[in-house]
Amino acid sequence: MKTIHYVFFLVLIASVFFVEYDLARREELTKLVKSSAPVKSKPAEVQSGPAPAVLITQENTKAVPKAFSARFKEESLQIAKIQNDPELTQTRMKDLAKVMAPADVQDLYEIISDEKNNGDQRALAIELLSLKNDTTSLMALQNFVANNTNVNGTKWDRKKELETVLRAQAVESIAAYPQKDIALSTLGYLQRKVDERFLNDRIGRAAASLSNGAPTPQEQDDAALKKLLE
Amino acid sequence: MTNSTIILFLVLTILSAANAADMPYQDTEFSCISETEANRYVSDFGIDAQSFGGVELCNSNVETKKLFNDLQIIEQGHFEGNTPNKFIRGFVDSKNYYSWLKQETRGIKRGNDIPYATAYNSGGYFTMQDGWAKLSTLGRVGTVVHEARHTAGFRHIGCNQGPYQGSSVSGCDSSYSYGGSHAVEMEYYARVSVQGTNFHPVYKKMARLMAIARSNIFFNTGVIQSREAVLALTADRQSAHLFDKNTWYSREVPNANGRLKRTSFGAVLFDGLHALSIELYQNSGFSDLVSDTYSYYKLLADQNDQVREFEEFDVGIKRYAVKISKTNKLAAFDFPNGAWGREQALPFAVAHTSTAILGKAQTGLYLVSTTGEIFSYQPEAQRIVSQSAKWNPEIKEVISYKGQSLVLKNDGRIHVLSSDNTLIPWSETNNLYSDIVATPVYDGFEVVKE
Repeated sequence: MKTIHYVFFLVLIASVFFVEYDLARREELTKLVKSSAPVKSKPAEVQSGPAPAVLITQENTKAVPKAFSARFKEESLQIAKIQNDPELTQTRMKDLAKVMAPADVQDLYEIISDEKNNGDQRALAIELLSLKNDTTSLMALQNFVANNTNVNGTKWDRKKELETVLRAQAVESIAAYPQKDIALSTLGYLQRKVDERFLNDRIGRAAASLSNGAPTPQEQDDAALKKLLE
Repeated sequence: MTNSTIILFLVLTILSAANAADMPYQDTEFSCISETEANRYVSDFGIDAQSFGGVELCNSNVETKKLFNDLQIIEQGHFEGNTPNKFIRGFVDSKNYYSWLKQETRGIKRGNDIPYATAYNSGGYFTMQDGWAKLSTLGRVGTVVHEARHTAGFRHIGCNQGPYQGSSVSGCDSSYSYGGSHAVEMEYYARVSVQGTNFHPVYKKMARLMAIARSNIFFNTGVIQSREAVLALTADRQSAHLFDKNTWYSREVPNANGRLKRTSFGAVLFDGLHALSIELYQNSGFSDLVSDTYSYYKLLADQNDQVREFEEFDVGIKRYAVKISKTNKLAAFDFPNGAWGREQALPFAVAHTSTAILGKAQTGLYLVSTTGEIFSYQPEAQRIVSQSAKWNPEIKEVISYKGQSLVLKNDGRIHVLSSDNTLIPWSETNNLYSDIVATPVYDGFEVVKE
């Protein structure tokens, strides 16, 4: 019986240490999430456009659940990893989009807008905003594309390429908005803002597809990438 | 405390500890690789780990770990199907990316000696620059694949089109078939997009967009040749004839006045105020006038004054839209500000505009004065430059079609400029036309014969 008591106390002490260690690690995570969170010093630029005027304000960001930030960061790391079940990955992203709060949308908008942020995080943020597919996320995507200083008038290099590709991704998301008239007017607004030929072409093709039921730019891409040699 | 209570407590404690250990408290730990694997990468590719910040197995913020991630995704990426196509030519065997990369790499280190470059390859030794570290995973992987191809002696040449045209930077490959660094990189993107089975959906989506975005930038012969067709308005203006892939198709046209204009998506009939769509791909059976809602002509939708001319055109990687008022003032659309730019008074009266002139394959915007003088509009500098040639009064329209100058004369006949600079009848038609335009036709659409 005495031996069992010793074992009990040993386990108890070990448990206390473990819990302390675990709490310390969680504290580290809190710091990590805070340090990697986008700069929130200025409110997002809200431009006049046709999408519903949902104001994205800094105040919304204060209640960001840490769980979302942590899950977001975790998923962004998955982009650099092999996915043995891509369908499961897609489901995971959809689930993540479902739990997004308006404050998370603001966070994601800041992530995609800051070119210093990690490219994988930015691409995932656009994808999540697309999956969210509500007016706030549409507005965030619209403002991201309309904020064109990284694209308009700059020379083509890998940095601009990334900026352009991310915006092309956002354009596809806008075109997928469930209310066609809002998607069309948003694309129409963006067509007036972007002079980068590739991106402008994507906007136009997306609008054309919505207008006359032609294949979407994605479908056209797939056809082009699978096109056999003539 | 009984023995059974103590055992129960022990079990609960252990279970609770196990659950806590499973919680995602430190995401970097989800991505750790083994030391053995890391050492193998260092050895296989001669990685100077110190220059990347030292060997790091878990934290992807450390650049060494980023590189390990990239190599792992190259090694374990799986592609299904091997049918060659326009983008996937088999420059690199899809099953052997890793061994191919290993064979072409003598060393990888981090540096910042050439800040404007993303990376460079000197005799098989790659130096990854600051730009590389800031890219997405796909961008970094693409860069490594790109650099590896240089080891086999594939070098870039000057660009005769696209953003580097005329610059001293040798940034292009002659063609995709050459199989240089650009093609090998794009082949990888195309494979990931259409044949990749175990990549993250976001990685795949970015690969598709990257392949398409790059397709007509880095090759002196474009990969995706946008199909060009000729649209000619019959002399009685009751229909149009579309010449596509050596076949003529009859098409409905709006019953309205106006000039045929090319748009980025097809063609319209434009009367100076309204642009009416022309359906190139099939006839609808209806004669309703349909406004063009997705090309740049909608930029004119907000105004009530008729303009003399409007053109949209591309120069390099930029798109331009220009209008000329009835009072001979020219304005270009200012895209960054989403509004028309300042109007500039032209020093001559514009009689006509054209996107092509005789003998020049390169399209642009040309203004023809009432006295037949031709001026080229240079949108970047916003300058008007006088051309040596004069507009032949017998000519109604000039278009550039597949590198040829096609001419619609006032008599309604279409001619082609021959190699000895004479105009000869175009062998594809003897019909009479009142207008003509070159128009893009998308591969994704089928032109229906009716």
